[in-house]
Amino acid sequence: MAHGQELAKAGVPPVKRASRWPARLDLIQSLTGLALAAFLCVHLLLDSAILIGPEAANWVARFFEGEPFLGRGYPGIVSLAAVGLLLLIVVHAALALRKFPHDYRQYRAFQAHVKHFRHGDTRLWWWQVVTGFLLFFLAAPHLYVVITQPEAIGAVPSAQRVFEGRAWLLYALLLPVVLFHAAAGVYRLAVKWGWPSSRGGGAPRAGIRKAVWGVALAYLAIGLAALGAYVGIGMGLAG
Amino acid sequence: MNAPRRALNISVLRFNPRDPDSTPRLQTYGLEEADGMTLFIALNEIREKQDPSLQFDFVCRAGICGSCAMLINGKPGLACRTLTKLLGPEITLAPLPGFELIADLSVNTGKWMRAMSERLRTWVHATERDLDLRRMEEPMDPDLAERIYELDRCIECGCCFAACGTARMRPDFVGAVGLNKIARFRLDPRDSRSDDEWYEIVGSDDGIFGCMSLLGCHDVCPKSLPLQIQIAFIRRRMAAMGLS
Repeated sequence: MAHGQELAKAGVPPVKRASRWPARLDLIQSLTGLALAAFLCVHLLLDSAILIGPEAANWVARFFEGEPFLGRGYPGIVSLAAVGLLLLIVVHAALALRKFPHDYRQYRAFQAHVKHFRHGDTRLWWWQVVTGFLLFFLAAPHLYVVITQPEAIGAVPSAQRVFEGRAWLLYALLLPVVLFHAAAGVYRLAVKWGWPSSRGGGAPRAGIRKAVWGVALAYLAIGLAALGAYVGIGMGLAG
Repeated sequence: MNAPRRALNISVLRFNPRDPDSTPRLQTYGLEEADGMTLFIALNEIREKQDPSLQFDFVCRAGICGSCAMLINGKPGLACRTLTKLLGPEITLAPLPGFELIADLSVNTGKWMRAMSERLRTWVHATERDLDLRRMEEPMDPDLAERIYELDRCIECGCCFAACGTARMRPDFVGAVGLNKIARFRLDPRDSRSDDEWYEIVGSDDGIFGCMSLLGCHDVCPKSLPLQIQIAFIRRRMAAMGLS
């Protein structure tokens, strides 16, 4: 301390401590990704309520408008939640963008590496980048509709939006892309932070990979089934 | 023994940056496979019998010196530890990317490793008390000594850095070899550096937070170092500094 004060008196600027922000940004990128993946799991399960029946889907819609707690539904709650989610995506995307190739040289170098190295996890990362990029465009219109028309959620309005409003195309693209991105992301989180790890050896990567792809495929199946159900109802309403 | 021997075609990416007439080209050498042949043996045979101008490095022939690392069919590996019988008859060899090319398959990993060591200060930083050479050295727990030794097995061959997608895009990235060294000295009780000081060295996007966990390093390491676990460990420790 005394030494530091002497230096300061002599006009020597204090040695700058390395910024703590790279650590925080790394954590925030991982945590927002994990939160989004967890949200996706719950979201798709609730969507699949339509597979039980229109009443179940309506009940879910009213539940999230706060009807069981507030006496009547406030669609604004859904809007607000969607705005929060959009912010979470913006933060996650902004931080993940740092990892994208920044220029043509980096892009070429990475592509050449992927091509010659033929390494599964390296290739997987590239597809994680591609799906992340696609999500800028696929998640945005989905959220925009939820934010601006929160009252149009339920068996009938959702089915009309899916079929007559042609939202099925958006959802059919969004679903596999978001599931791929989430599965690759959760796998990456596990190996990046070393959880779960087996004693002595590395984390059981093959096991984690199987688990995340298994879960993703199961979600793809129920997601597509739910989408099919809405298309069916929508066709019935239109016909 | 009497089975017909395979004919191998070994294509080498040749280029000598110091020769103004040299242009990068693939040159293919044909030779007959021998029992227990490694790429190191094959390359020596080519140099002896076919082309004395072919340049490549080797010292120990036993996977200890790390000199003969190269891209073998696109994957980084040690020529002396690669049996030709495990490869197809067409083999392509190229110099390790990420390092200064000397010529053909010879790269200057030493220069890069030295710069990395200086940047990461990979030597024991003792306190003044420990510098008293008349004092008895503190005994080390054998388990701990074993754990340090495990990480000390790194031969600085450069395979991990060549296999790193991050390093290919961002050459200033410290790479698995550097992060493994940080893990090694952090374990060492003779090194007095705290996490605060480690953070000064690797707490950046060129350091631990640049790692995107593609794990090419872990999968190609000829010494099977537990790189994934070590990098994850350093990441957790350094991320904790962000919260302090």
